[in-house]
Amino acid sequence: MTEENIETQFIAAPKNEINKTEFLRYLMDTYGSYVIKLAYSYTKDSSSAEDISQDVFVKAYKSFDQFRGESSLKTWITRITINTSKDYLKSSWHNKVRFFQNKYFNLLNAKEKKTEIQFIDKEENDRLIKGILLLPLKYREVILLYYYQDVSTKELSFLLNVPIATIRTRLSRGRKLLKDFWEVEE
Amino acid sequence: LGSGGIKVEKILKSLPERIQESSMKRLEFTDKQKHSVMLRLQDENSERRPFLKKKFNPVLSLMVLATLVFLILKVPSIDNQNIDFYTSTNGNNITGIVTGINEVKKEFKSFEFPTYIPMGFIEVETTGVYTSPNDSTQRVLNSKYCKRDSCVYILQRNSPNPPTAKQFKSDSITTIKGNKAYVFNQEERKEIVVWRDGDVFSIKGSVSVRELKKITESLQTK
Repeated sequence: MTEENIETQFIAAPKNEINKTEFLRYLMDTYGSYVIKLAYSYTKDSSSAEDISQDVFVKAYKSFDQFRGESSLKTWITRITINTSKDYLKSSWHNKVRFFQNKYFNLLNAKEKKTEIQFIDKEENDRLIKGILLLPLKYREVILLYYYQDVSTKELSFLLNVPIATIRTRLSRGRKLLKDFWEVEE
Repeated sequence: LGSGGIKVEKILKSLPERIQESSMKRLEFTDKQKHSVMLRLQDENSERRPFLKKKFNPVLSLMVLATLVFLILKVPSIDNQNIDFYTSTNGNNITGIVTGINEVKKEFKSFEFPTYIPMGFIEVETTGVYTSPNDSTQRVLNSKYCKRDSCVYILQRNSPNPPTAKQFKSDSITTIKGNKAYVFNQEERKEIVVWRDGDVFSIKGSVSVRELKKITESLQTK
């Protein structure tokens, strides 16, 4: 049975607890890695990405009753991930932690960043990912979703709630910034 | 890549493969994290008790405490309630355990799980236990579904012969899917015991007998 068929069955099935739990398991098995990578592209921190991923699946479970299958499951889970990641970045808790770290734990923070960057620097391919992760959020999200997740500009417009022309501009500027980054690195 | 935008575009098009080959592929949603999600849902259900949100009222709290003590003394909890010998697992005979609903489904093809569960209940635990070192057909399968503090337990174990009315001094006997079912409808014991195809099933918990019957009727292997 194809993924599409399975998803259609879930959407059509009565929204009882058994089906919801089965649905949640299916979501986590199928989209778990996708969600955590997508969350990571926003937070640039694996620990926060893990927390966000868990939040995403809890939210998906709770809002499954409202899901009518108007978009694909992947689009739906992508939208929840984007919103949850952005909420996290905007949250006062996140900003307080960041401020606290910057102000009082520069050394510790630098050490952690170094570890993360070492992790990123390991291979040649990671140079490109590092460049993408260094992009401002509005360019980073469109570059990753468009090139990595194969999301069309039309879908991006729906997911991010901005006009298609803006998506194209962001893609173009993102590419330009990446090019500059690569030249500096070289 | 440094020489122009076209090259950037070309490299970006290979991003999926590059990410697969990079350290970022380490980011996986592990079984541990999946388990955490299930636990969080369980916890959130427990936290939704509205009376906890109200201000602390010492008189009311004492009354609640007194009622609880009374109930604890009067009614044995479901967990401590003796599972009938017919459906219990003898801990000494456990030779292998499989946990998780999907794993149990894979391991035990005859495992029957409910397609109906009362609103708000979610599956929290499913185990399959081999009970004989020499006979792999001997097993006990156990599922637990909970909503806040209320749980429903479903046990399934081999039993070559159907139970008899003498063994089960039940409150009533009914028929479920053509099989004789023993119904216990007491304040401290709500349970249905039914036998079919070489297995005995015990479905019990802190819900009405009507709900237990619906769960029993919905049991199936796929």
